[in-house]
Amino acid sequence: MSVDFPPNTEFLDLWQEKMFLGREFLTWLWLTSEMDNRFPGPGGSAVELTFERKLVLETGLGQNRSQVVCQNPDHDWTEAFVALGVYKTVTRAIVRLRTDVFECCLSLPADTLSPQSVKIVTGAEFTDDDEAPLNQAGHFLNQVSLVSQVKTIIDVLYRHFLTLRLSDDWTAKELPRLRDFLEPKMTVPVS
Amino acid sequence: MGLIKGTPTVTRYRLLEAPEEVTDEYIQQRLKRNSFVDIEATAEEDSLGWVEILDHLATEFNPASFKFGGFVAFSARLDTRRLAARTLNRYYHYKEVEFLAQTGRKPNSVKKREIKENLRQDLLRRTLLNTDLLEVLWFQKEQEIWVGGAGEKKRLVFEELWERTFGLSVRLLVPITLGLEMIPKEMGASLLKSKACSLWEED
Repeated sequence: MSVDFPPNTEFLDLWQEKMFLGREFLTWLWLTSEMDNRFPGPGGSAVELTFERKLVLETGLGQNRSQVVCQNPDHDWTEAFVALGVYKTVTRAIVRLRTDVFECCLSLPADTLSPQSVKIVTGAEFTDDDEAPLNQAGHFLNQVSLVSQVKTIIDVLYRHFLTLRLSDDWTAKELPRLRDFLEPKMTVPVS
Repeated sequence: MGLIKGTPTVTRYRLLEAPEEVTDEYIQQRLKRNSFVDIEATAEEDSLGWVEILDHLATEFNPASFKFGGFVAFSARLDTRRLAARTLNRYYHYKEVEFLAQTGRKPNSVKKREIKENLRQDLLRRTLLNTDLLEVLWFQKEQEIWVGGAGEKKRLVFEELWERTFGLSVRLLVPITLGLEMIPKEMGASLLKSKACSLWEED
């Protein structure tokens, strides 16, 4: 699974240069989930995905970085929509995933797209039985299985995004669709 | 938080070169050679090495301790003790007063260095150790490695110990490296050429 890098390219430079990919992915995922939170998951299954509680949006890197943290239990995200209007993109989010088998919450950073703080909400397969709690090895294997399934879902969603992002449909259909959704939300009511 | 306790967090790596044959002996020998060395009774400031995944006091590495079906797992253990400069200076002051009372003069620069070093060793030995554990899972079929935890400090600890133990190159999986693996090869050039796209500006 080796990756063909352009010659003389340092990994860290490339990571930095393409940092926008993770940010655009999370921004796209958030806006799309606001329109319809059902996504195609692994093996044709359906995944429900909701952004909740906290969104971090940023522009720039290093010293030019500007950040806004939106904590919103009601999910109306007014501040976050305003931040999008000043060219910020999502750099970290709390995401709730629901499949036929389990439901969990996790933190997803745009710079790595690696699942963090994965917390099971429901799913008999991953929770200890109160009457017969699992031993340490059993608990560990459960955690690995949960993270593995979460990772697979994120990979499927990211692949879907990239295919769209690199196609002509991105500018012809997807961006206009996102703009149409955002336009009415960008008007901040004057109190 | 790692994979054993609390809510799991992982950092993903891809193994860029695979050894010809990964046997239990291959893994066991390398883990043992780089196993954790206890520094509890010493004045060492840090110790980094492997311990068994389910028992951070064990360094036997019988295959049953690291083989879990489709992956092998072990933990990197980093014990550290730090002595604040302010603490050392405070204790040095007492020693200096003692020296003055005994000799009637202040210690010269050579004596000062010697007192400070002895004091440092003594205080370090009495300083409690901080233990950090980092689970490492190696999925051999996928050649993917998970490190339990996130952040640059943890990545550097893992990368140092991994390199020292196996000498196999790994690369962090981040949006660009993941993307290049996921999309068809002919689209790779487009991905590498892609630029950030604003929601608000027409291309």
